Amino acid sequence: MKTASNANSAALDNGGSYGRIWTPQRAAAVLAAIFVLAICWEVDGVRLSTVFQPATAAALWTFLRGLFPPDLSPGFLRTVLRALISTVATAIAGTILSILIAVPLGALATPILWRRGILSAGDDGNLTAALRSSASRAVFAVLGFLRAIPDLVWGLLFVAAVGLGSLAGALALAIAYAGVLGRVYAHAFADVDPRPLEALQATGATRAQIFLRGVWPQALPNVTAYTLYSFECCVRAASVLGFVGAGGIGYEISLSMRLFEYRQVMTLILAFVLLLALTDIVSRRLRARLQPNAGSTRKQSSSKGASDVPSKRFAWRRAGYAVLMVTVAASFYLAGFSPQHFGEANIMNNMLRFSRGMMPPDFAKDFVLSLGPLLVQTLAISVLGTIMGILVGGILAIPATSTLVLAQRDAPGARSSTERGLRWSVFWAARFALNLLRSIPDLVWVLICILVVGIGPFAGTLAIGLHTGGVLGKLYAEVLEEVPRQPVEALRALGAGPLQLLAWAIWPQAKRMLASYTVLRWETNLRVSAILGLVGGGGLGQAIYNNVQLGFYSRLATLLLLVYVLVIASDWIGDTLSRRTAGI
Amino acid sequence: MNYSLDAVTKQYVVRRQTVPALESVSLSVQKGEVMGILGSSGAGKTTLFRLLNATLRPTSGSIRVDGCELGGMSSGDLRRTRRRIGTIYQQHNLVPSLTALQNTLCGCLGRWSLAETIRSVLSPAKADVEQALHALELVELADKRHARADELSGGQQQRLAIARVLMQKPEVILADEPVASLDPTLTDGIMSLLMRVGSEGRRTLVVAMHKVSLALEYFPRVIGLRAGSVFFDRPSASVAGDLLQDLYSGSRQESQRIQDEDRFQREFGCAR
Repeated sequence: MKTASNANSAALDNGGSYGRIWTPQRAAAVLAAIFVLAICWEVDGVRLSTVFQPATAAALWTFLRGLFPPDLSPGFLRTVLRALISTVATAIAGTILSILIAVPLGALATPILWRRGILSAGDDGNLTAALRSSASRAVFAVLGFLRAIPDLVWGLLFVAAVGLGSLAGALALAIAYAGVLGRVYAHAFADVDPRPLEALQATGATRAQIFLRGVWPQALPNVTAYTLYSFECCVRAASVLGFVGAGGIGYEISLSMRLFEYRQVMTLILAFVLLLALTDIVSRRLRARLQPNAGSTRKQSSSKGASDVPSKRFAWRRAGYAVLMVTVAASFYLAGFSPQHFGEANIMNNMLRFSRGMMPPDFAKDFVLSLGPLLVQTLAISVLGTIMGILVGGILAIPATSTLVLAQRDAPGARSSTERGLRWSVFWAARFALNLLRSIPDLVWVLICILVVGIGPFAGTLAIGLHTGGVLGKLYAEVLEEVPRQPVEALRALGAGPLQLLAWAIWPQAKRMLASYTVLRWETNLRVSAILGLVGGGGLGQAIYNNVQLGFYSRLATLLLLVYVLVIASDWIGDTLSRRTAGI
Repeated sequence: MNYSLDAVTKQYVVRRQTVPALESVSLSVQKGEVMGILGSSGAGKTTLFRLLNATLRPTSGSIRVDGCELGGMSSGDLRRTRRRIGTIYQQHNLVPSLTALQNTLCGCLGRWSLAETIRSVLSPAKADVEQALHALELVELADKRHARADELSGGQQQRLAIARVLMQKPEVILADEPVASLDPTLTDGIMSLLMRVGSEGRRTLVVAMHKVSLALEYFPRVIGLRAGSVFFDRPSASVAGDLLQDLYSGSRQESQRIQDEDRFQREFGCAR
């Protein structure tokens, strides 16, 4: 919209052109957009005719009808329960391992400890300092690499290395989230107040001591909050990793889908949504409890209580730790970390063989050239999918914005109960649709879309579009609801209707936020579109899957590097775009 | 436009506690009348304005505009009524990211159709832009027409809010503390601008303020609000010093009210 608003003021600037809707800038922008769209359309193999064929409707109907009633037979429920437990166990084991890797790596990557600032001021310029500084940078880059390769790809690699099952899932989560957490930790460590560190250094403390007594205590609240959030993501990821064979509920979903047991699919999706909701509630509770300000008032009140019954509180705390330890141990066991399992599968050897196979990456000209079209396809999937998501989300967000749709509670005037009921149902229908689109993971959407339009990039595009529609729609509605209200009030008072409020009071205030959320989502979608191929959604994922299955590990290494470059590039484009959209 | 308020009471519910804002207010305003409303902060001036511009429903009592009861109107009638009432807010309530010209054009929203609104977002009609520029000239902001509202100074924002009301061409102008944040020179300018705008086309003008001398200077009729009810309602010539003393006396009830006001502001993020 940047171009549009520029053109708007341009039109107002030169006195003669009031009322001209088609300025040259706008025409150019529209042409460019049509051009990009046409390319994406072609590359994605969009076939709208397929979507609107009677056969498609029939297939969709069979699928939807097949979902009901969900399969609730005791035998299958036992399978679901086992899958749920294994998913949670995988997530816990993966999170714990990722923390163990991320804390030391994050500490090594923290600039304030090794590279700049007061701690390095004393020995600036000598060789040790230079070595230390570059080692720290290298660790940061490694973390970036771990994070850039999507968790699903790590899952695929570990399935190939250690076999089907939760163990591969837990290891994949450990590596992928070590990258995510390590970077976040490094930022949290870098944000601490440096003055205490200086004081510690002055007492003669080593860097490890400064970290333990100076950095860690200050960063702990943030570190805990991020870790809980990461656990939430891990549960989500652990559920999805099953699509590439790494156990858990995702494995059951893909199995039932392939067997056309849609009633089981329904049960599994319900269980999945329930699991996510539960995790969300638990982690929100924990985070609210751990919030710094909430914690201080709690501490004050509980310190009064503490003098009354100190022993009881200690007992509770000890019991809590015991439960935690047992849960963690059980999770590791259930996720496949048992000695005989490690011995039997000869896992260490397999992993070594696997990584040796990846060296050196395959840079043969034919192979590298063959990746070009796949790369373009991946980009096209992400662009078209995001645009579709903007449309779906934008259309659903307006009725899902309470300030626009619901009657103003304290406004005068007579409102019939029919009108109120109508507004109410429109609002909740839109909210429900958004939540449905959002809570079904994008990979499940791919499987559903494949049923309707067949394997290929088009299915991937549709899947991204639907899921993104749900995500963006909810964000959009929240942004629209939260704009400063005084201007809205003023325009309502001079007689503006809901759509006029949207155009003149809400949109101008919200557009920056909307644009930056959309750019962020496109970045995410680019990553997603690189892995959709693992389940048949086209793009680079297809090639990754094929090469793993065929055992061409050196080609796999090239593909991983390409994904890395793609993600780095998308980070950079996202940063640039959001910096520019911040200006409108 | 004639107003008549009959036993109007408004209560807010904040954290399950009822906070009274206005209690049994009755008054009538004739077409073309010019009046001031006095009262300390928290006396209920802003609530009274929200009731008068048809954006707030009273807890009890009736508000009639030209004999029509606001409570019985449909959404469409309500919008048509609001279009005839212009409000100048204490915090200006401009759209911060729109330019001065665009903010002025917002005054037309009440009479624009949907098609005109869509068109105006892309590129407003020439006639409307000319009118808006004329309004901006009246408030001496024509040279700032492409500046964003949040780049303007407090006095300029105040004048821009007046320009928006001019664009709206209302029959009534309600101004809530239009000079509260201005220095004396600017105050005179804004006040005479308001009076000029009011006298053009015999508009009803209701201005809330807490500067007593100004109110007595400019308005023939003055209403004193205290603790949510009408304390006096008389020609300004007969407003004596002890009456004002009582109006602003810092009773305990008053300080309670200020606390309520603070809590309300925290709760809703705006003045009441």
